[in-house]
Order: sequence, then C-alpha cells, then structure tokens
Amino acid sequence: MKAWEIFWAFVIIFSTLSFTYMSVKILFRGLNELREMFKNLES
Amino acid sequence: MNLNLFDIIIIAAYIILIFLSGTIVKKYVKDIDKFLVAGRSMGFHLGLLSLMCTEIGIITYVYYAELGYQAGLAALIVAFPPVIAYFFLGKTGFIIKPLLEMKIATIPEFFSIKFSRGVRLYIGVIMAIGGILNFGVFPGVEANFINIVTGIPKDYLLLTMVILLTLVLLYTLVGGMVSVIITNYIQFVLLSFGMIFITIYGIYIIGWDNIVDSVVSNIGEKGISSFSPDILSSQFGLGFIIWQVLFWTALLVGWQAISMRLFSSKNSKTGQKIYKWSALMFLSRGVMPILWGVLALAALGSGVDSLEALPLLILKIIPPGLLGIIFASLLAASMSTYASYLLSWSSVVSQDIIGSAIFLVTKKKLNSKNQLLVSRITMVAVMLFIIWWSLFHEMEGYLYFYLNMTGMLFIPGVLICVALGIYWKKSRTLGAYLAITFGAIPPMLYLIWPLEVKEYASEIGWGGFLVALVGMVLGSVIQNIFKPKLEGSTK
Repeated sequence: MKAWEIFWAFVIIFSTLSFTYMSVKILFRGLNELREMFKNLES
Repeated sequence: MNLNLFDIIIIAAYIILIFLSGTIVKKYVKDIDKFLVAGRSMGFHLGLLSLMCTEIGIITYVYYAELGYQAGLAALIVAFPPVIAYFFLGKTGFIIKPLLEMKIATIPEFFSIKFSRGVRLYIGVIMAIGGILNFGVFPGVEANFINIVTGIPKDYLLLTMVILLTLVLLYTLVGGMVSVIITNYIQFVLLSFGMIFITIYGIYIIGWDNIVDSVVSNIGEKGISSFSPDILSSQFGLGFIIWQVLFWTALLVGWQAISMRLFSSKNSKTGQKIYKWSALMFLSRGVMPILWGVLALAALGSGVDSLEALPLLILKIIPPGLLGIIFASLLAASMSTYASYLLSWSSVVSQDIIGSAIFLVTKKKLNSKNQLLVSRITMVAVMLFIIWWSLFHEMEGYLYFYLNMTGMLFIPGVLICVALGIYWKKSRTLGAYLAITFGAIPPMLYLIWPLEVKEYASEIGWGGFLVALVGMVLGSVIQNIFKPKLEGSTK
C-alpha cells in the first residue's frame, strides 16, 4: 500500500507541475497564433 | 448568497468580456467551413488550448471528483487510459493521419466517402442520439453546482441553466468555431489558474497525511491500491483499463467535439502534434479533479451526496475574496465546453442528418448559406432539448459511467468502421451497418437495464467493441460473397 501511496504522490506532483508549465507555454505562444489565424481568415 | 460584491464584479466583468470577444468576430465568418472548422487555420498551441477548454467543464470536475470521493486515490488510475490513447495516435498517426489528409469537417463525412450516404445518415442519427443524451445531463449537474457555490436557491435551477446556455448560444451562433477559439483563449487563462490553485491550496490546507488517513479509514486499502484485491476482480482492474483504452482511442477518432479540433488544425503534422501533447495535459485533466474528490472526502467526511462533494469543498476551503475568481474559472470551463458541444452536435444534426436526408431525397446539396442557417436552427433545438432532458432524467450509478455509455452508443461502431474502412480493403457497407448496430446494443442495455447490471460496466464496455468488430467482419464477408466489389471501386 505504501508503494501505491508514493506512486500517487508522484503522479499528483508531476501532473500539477506539467500542467502549470504547459498552460503558461500555450497561453504565451497561442497569442501569436491567434493573430496569425485572424490574418488568414481576413484574406 | 455566498458571493460578496467583489466576487460579483469579477464574474460580471468576465461574462461581459467573453460575450464581447465572442460576438465581434462575426465579420470573419462568411461560409460554413469558417463557421465549423475556422477555415482550418488553427496552429498547434491554439489547438491544444482549445481542445483542453472543450474537454474541461464543470461536468468534468464533477464526474472525476465523484470518482475520487467514492473510490479514493485508487480512482486516479482513470486518468491514464486517455494518456495512452492520445500519445499512441499522436505519435503514430494511426487513423488520424489518413482522416486529416481527407480534409473532412465531420466524422460521418468519412462514412459517405468510404461506404455510402445511407451509412452516413445512419451513423449521424445514432451519433446525435448518443451525443445529445450525453450532453443532456450537463446543464442539470452544472446548474446544481453553480447554485451550491453561489448560494442561489435550488428553485432557480431552470433559470440558471437557461441564462448560462443562452449566453453561450448567442456568441456561438454568431461566430461559430472562430468565436469558440477566441473565447477559449480567455477562458483558458482562468481555467488553468483555477485548477492549479484548487489543487495546491487544497493539499496545503488539508495535508497529505490527512488525505491518506481519510481514504484508509473511509474506504480501506482498495481506496489506495487500484488493483485491490487483485488486478482481475478490481473495479479499476484489467477489464476496465482495456475498455477505457479502446474507448478513448475511439473518442479521439469519433467524438465530434474532439475531432472537430483535429480537423480545424492547419495540417496533419499539426493535428498529430496536438494529440501527442494532449496526452500530458489529459493526465492533469483527470488527476487534479479526482484529487479534489479525495480532498472533499478528507474535508467533509463520507456522508455527502457524491455529486455535491466538490462544490461543498470549494465553499469550505476557498477564502472570501478569491471565490469570485475561482467561480469565474469554473464558469469559464463550463461555457467553453457548452460552446463546443453545441457546435459539434448541431453540426452532426445539420450536416449529417438533415443535409444527408435532403441529398438522398432531392439529389441536391444545400448551399453554404442554407447550411449555416440550418446549423444555427439546430443549435437552438439542441439547447432546448438538453434543458428538458436535464430536468427529467434521473441519474443512477456513477455519472462518469453514464457519460461513457451514452458515448458508447456510437463510439465502438465508429472506431471499427473508420479503422477497418481505412486499413482493411475488404470492408463493405453491410459490415458498417452491422458494426454500428451491434456496437450500440451493449451500452443500450446498460442504459435501460436495472441498477444491478451497472456493476458490469467494464465487460459491457469492451464487449461493445468486440461485437462491433464481429459485425464489420460478418457484414463485409457476406457482402463480398453475394455482391463482390467492382474493379477500381472504393466502396
């Protein structure tokens, strides 16, 4: 049971950190893509 | 009322911002392709962001938290099958690459290209029934959640649903996918902040030791170990994992709200990349809300209605002044899902049912302007139906399994038909009809049979895929014997 407990603690930490990193990344880079998308839609 | 003036100002500002940004894009939407798939101009980061917004709503939080509240940390295993499915499809391009290269807007379109217009109409009808029954429980569950968090009396449940959906409907009707993408961007800022904050703050307030102790005292060892007593007889054991991996693979191919994101991407390389990285994001999408359910168990004890555990947890742990931002983040998650699902299911009704039926009768296609009009009318009709269904449908068993089984009405048939349609040259129209029909029978039994049957969800789940495969092989073999394929024909 202890092994499962450690495994779940690792999964929770990993998923929280990776979600935070990916969220910041896609918000930052997504802004440029949003501009590009509107340019394409206008043309 | 649980919200103070500051909270209300934040929520009002968010709603106004979303509404304005969703409606100013009207000038960009000139034809049905821009309305449904934003002119196929979506890049990788925007695609990933939009997919996350679509697939994360209050309903997602509630059904995952219900699993965590009732099954403890052991339920975290549920977050892994989507990771496997996304990574596999994204990395290999299996099924999705040929689909992207076909440049279709909806999955049923594939059926008319590979099989026949009749199959497209048939899958469209079953897809619409499954999808809309699935969508149909969203407003009730979410309005109940909103009422608990805000303190609005439950007598106003219907009014809450109508206001929420009308707001979403207005901007989606005007701007279609373009509106959905731009509002998704704003919504993701709030949604991601809310998810990260609740997770970290919740663990900080309650403490890891208390979380584990609470699971052990309320549920026992099977609340920690997903394979207790053993991997074969556990509710999250091997049968469950096989079913869920198949189910998620099929969802990523045939779930309209997901595949529309895929079809909106710039090219097949971008589409594959979106899926590959979604694997990581979908792990968090499952893990975080399941953990919130476990936090609710530790904070509230085991005597609470499992569907109300999460809103009660939020009320208990979020400090005053932050509740407005957290509530806006939850609302953002919800509105983005409604917008995408309204667009997705109404596009199946308008394009694949009404459009196909008109073509079968008149032998003429609707022009783009009329397709847009039909799409908008069906969107309103879908909204009215889901409000009605939410009011009258009573939930039995896990909400997660109800949602899975409504999707299962068409998902096994779609996966088998699309996979074999692409990779098995002998697949035929009769096989497609039988695969769709056979695949729909097990989940239909789950939905209408008594409560005791609901214990066999995993068997019914993977069984649906097996019988769909049998149907495809059987039907194709029969048709190939009695009506062999003509030389050079694709059907």
